[in-house]
Amino acid sequence: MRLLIVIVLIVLAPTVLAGVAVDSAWIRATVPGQKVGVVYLNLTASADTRLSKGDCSLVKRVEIHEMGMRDNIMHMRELIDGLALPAGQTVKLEPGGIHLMLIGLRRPLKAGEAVPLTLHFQSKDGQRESLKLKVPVRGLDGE
Amino acid sequence: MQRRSVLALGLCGLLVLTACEQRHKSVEFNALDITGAGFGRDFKLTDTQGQARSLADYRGKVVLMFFGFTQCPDICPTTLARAAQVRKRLGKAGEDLQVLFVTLDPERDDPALLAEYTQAFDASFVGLHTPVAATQKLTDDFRIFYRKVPTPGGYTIDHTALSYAYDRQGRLRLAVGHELSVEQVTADLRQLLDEN
Repeated sequence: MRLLIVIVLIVLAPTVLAGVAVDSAWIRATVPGQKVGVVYLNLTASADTRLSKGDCSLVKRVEIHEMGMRDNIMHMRELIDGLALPAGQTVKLEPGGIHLMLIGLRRPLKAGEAVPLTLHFQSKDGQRESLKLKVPVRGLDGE
Repeated sequence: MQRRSVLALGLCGLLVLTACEQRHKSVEFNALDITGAGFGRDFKLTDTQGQARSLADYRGKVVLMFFGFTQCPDICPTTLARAAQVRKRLGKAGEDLQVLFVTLDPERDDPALLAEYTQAFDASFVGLHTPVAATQKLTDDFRIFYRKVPTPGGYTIDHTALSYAYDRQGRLRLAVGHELSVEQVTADLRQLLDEN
């Protein structure tokens, strides 16, 4: 006869805000006629959360994109469900990987200016947080 | 019998050593060496001034050629920025490096935009285009894959992220992956520039 012991653990969900830290944020400058821009940055959340979307007054919309490479062919896809930010891990958005795409630029972005950008985060348990940034614009060559 | 085996082993070793030495004599690149490839021999394109261009126009220079589009947010500017940094690192020798950016999106990349975009990286960079109808043949000739992908606001383009390097004689030599660093590409192009 087997003895079955059922232990029920009730874990109270911690009510910790994700507290996302941002560093190394920059935007690549654009030339007149270019309708898209790109934002790179590092995100570190103190509790599990997800980057759900971004807002920028200079563009129609902000999308989270991942660039993939297969057989030296570049594919770019929107991360529709956002980007997971596991607690304590720095998630890097950098050239050749994940980036925020600024779509429908209303004007060119000049090196030296700072672009307002708001990031929205949402954790599994529904905790929402927003972060307002001023992101510096670097030259097209990234310098 | 045993002595003969040892001798045979020794001979084998010597052969392997010789083979290694010979391999070392040929130049080693960080990029993929595609010397002798039967594609990408020449092109007929138009520069942003309206001038017809072929590879022969750049004879005597090392040419680094990349296919992309100006509405590409990540890989194209990253690759062109790397090319600009490589040219700077080459110093005086960099004057003999010609970077060509060929648009895969002539519908949207008009010559004015193409010129402004390429020259924002380095004033010496040249933007080249072809009529929309000729883009498929061009990419076939250069084994470049591209595909329009619809997006809510229009379309984007998936495409090959390799740059091609030609030597001073206009021979296709290297397929340069996007993952190679400024240092690696600089070293490769310096080798090509140092050849006669």
